[in-house]
Amino acid sequence: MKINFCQEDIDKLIKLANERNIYIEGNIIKVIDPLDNELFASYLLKAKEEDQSKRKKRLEVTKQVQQQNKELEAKAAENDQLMDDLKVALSDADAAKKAALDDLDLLQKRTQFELIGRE
Amino acid sequence: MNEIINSILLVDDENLFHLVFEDACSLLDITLDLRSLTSADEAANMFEKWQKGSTDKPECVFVDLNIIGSSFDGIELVRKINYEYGNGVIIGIISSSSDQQEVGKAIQAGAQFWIVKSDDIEPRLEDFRKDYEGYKNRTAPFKLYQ
Repeated sequence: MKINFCQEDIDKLIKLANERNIYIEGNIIKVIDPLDNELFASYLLKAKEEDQSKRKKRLEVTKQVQQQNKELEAKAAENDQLMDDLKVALSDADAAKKAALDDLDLLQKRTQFELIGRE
Repeated sequence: MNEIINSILLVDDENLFHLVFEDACSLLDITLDLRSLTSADEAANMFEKWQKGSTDKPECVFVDLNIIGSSFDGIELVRKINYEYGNGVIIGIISSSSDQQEVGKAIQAGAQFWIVKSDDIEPRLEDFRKDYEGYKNRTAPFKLYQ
């Protein structure tokens, strides 16, 4: 389906482009029929180029953001793994400390027992 | 000259990918009518509604494999659309995964294609568009674009 504009609207659009560098954007450009108006055909071509240039830029930025998000997610997963490893290490350290304290307690009791035995 | 696809529906939980897909489709002149949904449930509801007769149903559907926040995954959505709502749309998976087991399940569910998502999605979409006529006529075999 193609749509066409009346001459008055075409003139306004071209004036807006010339004076303020504002063009119509988006897929609607692709369905406008310039009929036999060469000036309007070149306006539509320029509008399409501008639109594509903007979309290319946005696509690049969006892909960069997507990549950064992926990296952040990977780093968050890495951090979670490190926290889990740290918890295990802390728990192991606690167990080792408890064992060492038990051993020390046992040693002290044995020493006391030996001292009593000598008396 | 490859024809423009009348209308496309993208079902993907990642909003950023909606933008990537929209811009890529526009730059490649793939379609003029692109709608995007973030939930498989919402898509299923729409197809259920379209089953009752509607002219605005999409011609082609791209479904993400893992749609976070939905009651079922992309393969189940493909199966529902193909076998429960029977709309005869062209449908396939778009996913960063290309796990062979999942691909097999998608084929069983009636997917016609599988496009692997990556930073460079445009060449795959271009290849897909070249094969599109075959999907439309139901003459093209299942294809994995990676």
